[in-house]
Amino acid sequence: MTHEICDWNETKNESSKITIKFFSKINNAENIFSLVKKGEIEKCFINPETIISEEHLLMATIRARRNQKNNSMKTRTIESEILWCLSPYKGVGMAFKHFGLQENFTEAIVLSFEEQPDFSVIQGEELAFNDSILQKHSNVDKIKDIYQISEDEIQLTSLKESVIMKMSVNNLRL
Amino acid sequence: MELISQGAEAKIYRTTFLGKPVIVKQRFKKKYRHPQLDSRLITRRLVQEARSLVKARKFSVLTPILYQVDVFNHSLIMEDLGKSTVTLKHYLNNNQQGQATPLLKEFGELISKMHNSDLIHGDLTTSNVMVKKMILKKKKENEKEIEKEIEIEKEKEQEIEIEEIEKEKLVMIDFGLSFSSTNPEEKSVDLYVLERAFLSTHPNSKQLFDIVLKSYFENSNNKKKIMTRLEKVRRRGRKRSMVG
Repeated sequence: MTHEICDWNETKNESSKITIKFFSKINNAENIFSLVKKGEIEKCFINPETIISEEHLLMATIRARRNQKNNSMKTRTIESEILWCLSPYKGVGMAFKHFGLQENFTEAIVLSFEEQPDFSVIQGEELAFNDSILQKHSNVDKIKDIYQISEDEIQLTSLKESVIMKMSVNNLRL
Repeated sequence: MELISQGAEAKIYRTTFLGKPVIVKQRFKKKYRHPQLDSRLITRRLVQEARSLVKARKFSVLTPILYQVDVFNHSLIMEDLGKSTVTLKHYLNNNQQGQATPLLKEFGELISKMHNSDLIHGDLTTSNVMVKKMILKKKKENEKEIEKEIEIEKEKEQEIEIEEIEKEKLVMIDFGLSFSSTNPEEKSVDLYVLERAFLSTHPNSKQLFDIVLKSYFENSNNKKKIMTRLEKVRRRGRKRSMVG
């Protein structure tokens, strides 16, 4: 699915186009891994276990984009910055560990800022990228653990909201 | 994008963000301040407010959802609570005391929840509490009644009895001056600020504040100390003699 995202103080002309796809039953994980390590794929690969909703990923994406626009990224590329923005930890390593590609992964959410993104390198089944698919493939216990969300917080509103709020104040650099 | 109000420190805009209606609170520079000091102050207030908005929820205090913190523009992007949501101040001026009583009790409860977890709001006034009409879905789980605004997830195809009720709930805002403290002095000052706010904005304020205070002490973990402190703080203040 494609999105035109722009920040609160930008006009529609300044928006960026992003394409997000959900792949399941991936059988060439090793190949993708090596390409990503070599830096030959300009896409962000995200562990679907850790994403609870579209909004969740979009919030991190727009923050990463804002950091890039202000020359204030903690990581080297916008793709890795998205992973860092998803993460509640200061360290980049932890962000990659939890939210990035896992060993022998079979599922991945792939995000691209390219005008004409080519996803052919990924050999797998494409599913729709929407909230219901995300809920089915996410690991709620893992998310609660990574973001350290207590049952009380979830009772107040919902897990979706708690995750967004935790993310918004993470790694706030004064 | 619409500018809906301007306070002493920030401008409030209403706009859309990622397709949702949001409120943006943007702190602006004060030209009369030393630039370096000013920059540090607004960043600190921004970060404190952001952190407290999230922290308060841990203590079961409703706050608007914080979507983003735009540090580059000193702005907070938050949930738009809706045009029908009003401040408690407005509510009290437009409703009978009888109708407002449950909300005032809830207010006392909310402040005690924050203070019990050592979160000092710093700017307690009736303009910093919003009254939002919510349609809550009520379900009974292990004999506990849970009321939530959103869809209650059906746990593993269980037949849960869900009842829909319309209720007014309080949402705390404006945590710019908030901080953490275990000190009963800070907590009593927090309450005193509210007492003065009530006095200056509402008629029959003593009755209203008493309801809040009673509810506060009913839920407080440190009733005795804070009560005595509050008495001491009351004896200070303007035009009061400190002579024993």
